[in-house]
Amino acid sequence: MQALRHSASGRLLASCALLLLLGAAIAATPALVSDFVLLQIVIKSLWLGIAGTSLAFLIGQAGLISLAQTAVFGTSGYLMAILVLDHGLSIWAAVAAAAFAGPVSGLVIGVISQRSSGLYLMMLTLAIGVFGFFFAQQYQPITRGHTGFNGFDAPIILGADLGEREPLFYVTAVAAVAVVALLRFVTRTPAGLAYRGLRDNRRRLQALGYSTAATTVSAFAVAGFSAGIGGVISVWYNGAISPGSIDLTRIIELLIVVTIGGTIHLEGAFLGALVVTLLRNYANEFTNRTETLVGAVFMVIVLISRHGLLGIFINAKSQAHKALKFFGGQRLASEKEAVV
Amino acid sequence: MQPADSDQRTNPTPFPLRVVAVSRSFGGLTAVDQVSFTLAAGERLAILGPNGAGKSTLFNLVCGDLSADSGKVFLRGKDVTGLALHHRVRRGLARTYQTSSVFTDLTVREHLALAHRGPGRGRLSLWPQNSRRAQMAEAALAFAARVGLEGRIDHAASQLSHGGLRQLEVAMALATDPHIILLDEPAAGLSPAEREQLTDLLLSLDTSVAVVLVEHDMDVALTVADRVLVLESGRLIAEGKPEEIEADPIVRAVYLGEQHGQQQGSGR
Repeated sequence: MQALRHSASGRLLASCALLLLLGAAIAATPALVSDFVLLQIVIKSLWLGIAGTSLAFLIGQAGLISLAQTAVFGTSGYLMAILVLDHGLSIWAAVAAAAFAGPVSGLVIGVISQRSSGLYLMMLTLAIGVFGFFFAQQYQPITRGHTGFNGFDAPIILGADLGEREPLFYVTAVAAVAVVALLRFVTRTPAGLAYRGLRDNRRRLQALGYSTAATTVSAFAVAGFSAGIGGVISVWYNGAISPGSIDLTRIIELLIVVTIGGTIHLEGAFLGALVVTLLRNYANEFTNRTETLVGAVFMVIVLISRHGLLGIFINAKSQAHKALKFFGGQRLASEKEAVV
Repeated sequence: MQPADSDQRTNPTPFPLRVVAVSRSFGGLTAVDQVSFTLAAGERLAILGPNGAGKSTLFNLVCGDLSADSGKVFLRGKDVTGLALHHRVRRGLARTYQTSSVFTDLTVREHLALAHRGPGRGRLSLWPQNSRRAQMAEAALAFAARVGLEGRIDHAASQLSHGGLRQLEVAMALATDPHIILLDEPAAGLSPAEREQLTDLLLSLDTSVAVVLVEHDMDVALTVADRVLVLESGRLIAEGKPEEIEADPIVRAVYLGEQHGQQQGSGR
């Protein structure tokens, strides 16, 4: 078992099994949940989670707390809408341009904030995030001001209209798996190791020959990719994008999503997105203070677990493992006694 | 003073390290005052001095952790005075820290991979270097083995003992494949057995590597060093072979005379 887990072919086998399982889960979901849940909860959590992986990657891998990921999200979303609605570009060309704009705007943000870390990085990226909002709101010739873009028709892929909920669900789910796979791939590269070095001890990283600036810029560019994809899918989902999609509330929402989920694994972003989406949809049935409730849940989770919900699960798992080991050991001991 | 960039002309093979009249003050305190020295190829140089003499500041000036107020630093004939730490490291300089400075959540293996890739190209490659993975694993194991960490290669730094962290510091410096190693009190806090192991390691280093050592432990420093510099209040007060330094009356008065017995006992 141990040997299997460590060998390359064993890992490949495990990945294939996991992928099959995921595929089965994705295929079964539309049949298992109501149309309302599929659209309002599942798809929404998926694209919010995709955008969240961008921040989860930056915080969890590189130790960079960025409040500018909504600016990347907005750049891609707006770019696609502008190219299609104002310039008549074909939808797929616009999607390609928007996907490309993600890492590029990530890179630009990285270049601006390459020298800062910690609290200063948060302040700087907050300024960039808020700048993104004001630019969208006030630069009317390009962004159409505070109304933004409405009536965006989602593309049709292989005859399936992404304006319909089931096709949109499948495409979003596949995109989520692909984004996580790509970011996980990056964590296994030399750059991925350098990001973790940056997170743990930036001075020491520099003393090994790494430019902390280049490492920071590179991490922002990689993270920009998933924020951009999230932005594109959000426009398909909403059929619209406006300054409200990237305002201060959204900046904080993304941070809450990632903190509730936990950043030790990228997948935490989806967990956090699911919790926030559930609260937003169902809390108003028993209270009209939804945001207060979201804030309270956030605080409770932060107080009891440094690594969010994911941390709680992992902790529970290791406790269960210990308990199993304990009972296993007991049984082994009693068997030994029996032999004697 | 001779022209600062004359290394190349006067020496066909330039000194690995040449420090020319570097100074640095913090407010009113001159921590390092007009210190000059050269390091010959393959040489082992020890820098001694009481606490607060400016040894660590001098180290920081040489490697670029701090910038000098005046003076120049040459690495293998190149003026690196204006270059940042990582550029100097890429030119073959490696350093260790007095207080172990590691990556808490990374394993020993990951530390060594990070260090080994640091000075070369591809350090920020976004492609897994599968073809070089076996080679990298072998190299990491070899560096770990040199300092005696091979049994703990998959341990996270947070799981290592103080001695293990000191060993990891030295292993990381070696893994960058340097021409010059600056060791800032590598024996600090080590047990006698670990000190002996460290001394053996330093003696076994290839002569293609030049070593500068700041060390309070006389046994380690004087066994390893070919030459000794003595710093006091930021100034160079003596220079010579280990036995000359031990006999020097000024040095004895300033440093060894009062504190020798104590230093040997307490180490740090």
